[in-house]
Amino acid sequence: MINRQEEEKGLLFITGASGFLGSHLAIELAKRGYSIVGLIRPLNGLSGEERLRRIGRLLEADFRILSRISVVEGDMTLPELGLGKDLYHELSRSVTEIINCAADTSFAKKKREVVERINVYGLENLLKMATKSKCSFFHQISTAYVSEKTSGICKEELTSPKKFTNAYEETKCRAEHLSTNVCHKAGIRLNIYRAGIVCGESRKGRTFRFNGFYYPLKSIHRLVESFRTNLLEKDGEKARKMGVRFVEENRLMLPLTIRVTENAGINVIPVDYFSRMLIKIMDVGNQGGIFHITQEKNCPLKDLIEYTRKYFHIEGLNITLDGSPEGPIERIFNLYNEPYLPYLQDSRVFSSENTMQLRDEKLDDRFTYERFKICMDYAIKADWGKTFKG
Amino acid sequence: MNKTDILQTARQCRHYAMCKIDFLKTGICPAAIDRPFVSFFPQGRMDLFSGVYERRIPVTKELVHIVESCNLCGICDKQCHFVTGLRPLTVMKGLKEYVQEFLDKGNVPEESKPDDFLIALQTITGQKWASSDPAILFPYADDPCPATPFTMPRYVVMPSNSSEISEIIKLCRREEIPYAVRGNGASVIGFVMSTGLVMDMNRMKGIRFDEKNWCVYVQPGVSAFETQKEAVKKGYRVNAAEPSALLCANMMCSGIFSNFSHSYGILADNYVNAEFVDHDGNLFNLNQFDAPNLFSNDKMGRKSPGVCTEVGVKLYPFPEDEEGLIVPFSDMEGALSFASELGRRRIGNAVGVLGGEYLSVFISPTEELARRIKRFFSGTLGIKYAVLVVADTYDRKIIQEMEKVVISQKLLSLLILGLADLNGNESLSIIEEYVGDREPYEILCDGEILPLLELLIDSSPESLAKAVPEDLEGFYKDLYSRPEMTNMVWLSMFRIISSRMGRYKHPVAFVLYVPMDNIALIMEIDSEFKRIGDIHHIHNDYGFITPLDMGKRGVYEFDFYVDPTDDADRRNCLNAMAEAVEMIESYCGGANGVKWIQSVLYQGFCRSENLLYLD
Ligand SMILES: Cc1cc2nc3c(=O)[nH]c(=O)nc-3n(C[C@H](O)[C@H](O)[C@H](O)COP(=O)(O)OP(=O)(O)OC[C@H]3O[C@@H](n4cnc5c(N)ncnc54)[C@H](O)[C@@H]3O)c2cc1C
Ligand code: SF4
Repeated sequence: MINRQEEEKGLLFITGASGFLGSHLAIELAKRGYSIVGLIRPLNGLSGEERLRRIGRLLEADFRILSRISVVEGDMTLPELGLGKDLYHELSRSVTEIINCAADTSFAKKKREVVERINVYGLENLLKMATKSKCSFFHQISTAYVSEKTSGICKEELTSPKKFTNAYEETKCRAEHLSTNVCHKAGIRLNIYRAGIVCGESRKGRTFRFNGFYYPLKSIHRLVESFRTNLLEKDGEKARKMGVRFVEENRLMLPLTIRVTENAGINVIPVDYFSRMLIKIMDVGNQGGIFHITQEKNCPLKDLIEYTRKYFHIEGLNITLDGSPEGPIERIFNLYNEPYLPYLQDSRVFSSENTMQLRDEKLDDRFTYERFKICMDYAIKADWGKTFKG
Repeated sequence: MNKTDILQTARQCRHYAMCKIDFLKTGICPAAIDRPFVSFFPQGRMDLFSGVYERRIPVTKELVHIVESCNLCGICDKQCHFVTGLRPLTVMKGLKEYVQEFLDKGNVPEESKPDDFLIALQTITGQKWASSDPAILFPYADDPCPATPFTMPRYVVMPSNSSEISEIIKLCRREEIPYAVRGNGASVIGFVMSTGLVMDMNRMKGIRFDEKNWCVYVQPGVSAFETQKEAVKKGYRVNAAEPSALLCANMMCSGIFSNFSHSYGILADNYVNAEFVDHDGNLFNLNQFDAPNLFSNDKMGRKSPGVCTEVGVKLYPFPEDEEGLIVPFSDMEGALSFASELGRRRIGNAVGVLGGEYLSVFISPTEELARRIKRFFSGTLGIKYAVLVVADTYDRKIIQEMEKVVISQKLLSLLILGLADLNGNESLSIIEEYVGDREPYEILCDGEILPLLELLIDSSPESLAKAVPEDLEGFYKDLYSRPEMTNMVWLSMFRIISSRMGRYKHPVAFVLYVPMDNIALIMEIDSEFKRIGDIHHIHNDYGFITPLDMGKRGVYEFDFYVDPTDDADRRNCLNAMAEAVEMIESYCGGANGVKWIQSVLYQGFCRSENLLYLD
């Protein structure tokens, strides 16, 4: 094991540098003195530079840190990453490491084409650049959910599932194989970092993406708000018809039963935990390998339900192991969260021996109520991302 | 409001004649009941304001009389706002003020002197029914179509029966005065203008039922709305289109097509018999052995066969359990395939494939709301096309089996009365933010969540009324408390909301008959229209398609929208129209089943087969 700190810190090329993980990582790396080139797509009339600036403001990264990230506008799905010949060649000559954070994380089947285009074909383009450049180390961000298992232990090794829950998982799995093959042939070291379900920062809850773990909670929040309004500002008759009413201490009775499997749980890690672990692995574990950046133990769904009840002051929110009949509240919850429902039927755990070997500091990865509350407070303040335009 | 603003309102009048029918149960303009020349209706007064204000017509005694006959009751404000969003009452006040100022300055109104021709006309009809006064003539001189040249007639006459018509025609022939026959002018494409005489048919309002023979005979002054109202009272329905269109005129012009044409047909399918006065002043009816053959179709066009003085249109029974529903689609192909499937299977009594524009514009009481709702329907919910079906219980069940996702009557009523709350309703974010595989509208349409939607959406006549100007809130609240205002069957039969398509700008409609078994061709034509509209910077949109004759053919409309008061827009529209005509002609005439409505101009009595299946 060579300690990275002794090595020269070269030029890092980060794709998806305006994404949730990519931006956090880029800012963390910049704080540690790395020189970074970030690939960002202009979007909704905003330049790449402006997008990064807005994210920087949200994450309170000061100007000096941001100035260490030079933005290049491009698109992974285009030849030469959409950079144009000159810039592409210039980067190829100078880049020493690449971190691929660019991904489309949509779960919907109808998004399959886009997901595949970015997660697989975009990666192909990027690997082409890597093989032509001075790049000696390729970092591929992946997901811990690249296996068909829904129970038991998932190891830090390549998987070859026959079926997948969604195109996101499938393309991320293909991407792992693709990067392994190309990097192996080209003699480029490769780290694959498999993330659990990433939530906002541990201390402030900051994030600007509210999918994944947030999604079902957002639907509960929306329902709670609507029922409260109906009960408080209108005659409340329609709410009561659906069994929704106030019980003691201003708590709302919201009869919603969610179907889960035994021992179901989700693996949630805060984004800062993810980036710190990743950097640690980058710095010291530069032999190449697959690393689970996950919680040691899942957060049981029953705990999450308890947190939800407590946070939103609700009763009636329950879990069941069998399919009880759906009322309108269950119906909308299930329809809305359809893409996420498989994760409520999931009890797999992730072994993380490779990661643990490198972990010298004690990171508290428990998803406690306090952490949950921080995330929810921030999400609600940010109106689940509606207030952020980046 | 200053005079220039009033002028702006006045010039925006669409000339759809909706103020001539009592479609909101407000009654019609009381000033027009005695002498229903257009000038006495709010529509005519709008023109008269422009006419006098721009000094294109003098202040005459007749004008003063017309102006005085208005009691500022405000009926027109309600009617016109419902359709166009305009507030004509300011114009009525402005017109009164203008004339008052004129008189206050000591001016004397002109008096028009009758010439021999007018005297001859008045001898036929009675003095009050023929005029050459500019105040009477002016509202007959123009319409909002950019291709219509301003054409001031010399005379307007309102005959009361066939023999008067016959005499008028003979007089015109003798004196070599050209004439045009006018229903309510809602064809808005310059057909009812003449440099000579305009014959306004609005005095001939007889309706006679022959129930044993499933038929109602109407005279040429009877509108679709009035006919439908009388038919429904007796438990029947007719196939009628624009409510203000006079049935004889609609038959004469192009034949009647509506969503009900899916089951009732078009052209000759709609009537039992008709009576005419020909251009020599002779009467004939279509069951006469030696009558002209109006069943044939000449695609090169043909001259009008004369003045239609009565048409016997078919009466249809309708099941009491009929209800409307809407099947939403995210693409045109899906919607058209489904509609033609309904045709093949003979499902439903009325079928129409509407675009996002029509759907949102029809159901929204204001333009601003329509724009927001279009974004909500198309953008948020993903509804790009909607197949509207009126069907009985059995057919609705089949439709539910064919397409699981439907907007039921109950849901539609909820949505219409909740329109003002739909866009920007935070609680609906739950639908807006949906990221799964279904189209967001599938969630909305899920029958199970209806109780929740009822809670989430502030849906009531009061809520909807919040969208309109404050002084009309009470009126709209009462109006939308009437169940028919959200009832798809009633709205399909009486069509009081379709002329809202002219609210934003006036639509120049291109109507084609198309082969429903060649959806690719329809889509190609549709994108051609769109391309032409776009390059000429003309707001444009798909209108509707109704399957005909078991889904073999369809009647299709695409619209270019023009602001008739904006010269640049008019010019662009004219250029776009010219190019569109070339494009249409390139598709017509071949063996591909495309026919332009131009091929049935003045041939609305022809057999549908002759139009649809003979090349
Ligand atoms: C918003 C809008 C939507 C429409 N949608 C439809 C639709 O869905 N389906 C449809 O079928 N039409 C539709 N139309 C067209 C309209 O209904 C027809 O053009 C209809 O003829 C208009 O009736 P009118 O009484 O105003 O006729 P006018 O415009 O007055 O006359 C139409 C033609 O008929 C002639 N004519 C009138 N009366 C007689 C008579 N008694 N004898 C001989 N000739 C006569 C006129 O000279 C003129 O050529 C629509 C029009 C508008 C403005
Ligand atoms: S305000 Fe005048 S023009 Fe309008 S409906 Fe009343 S009487 Fe007719």
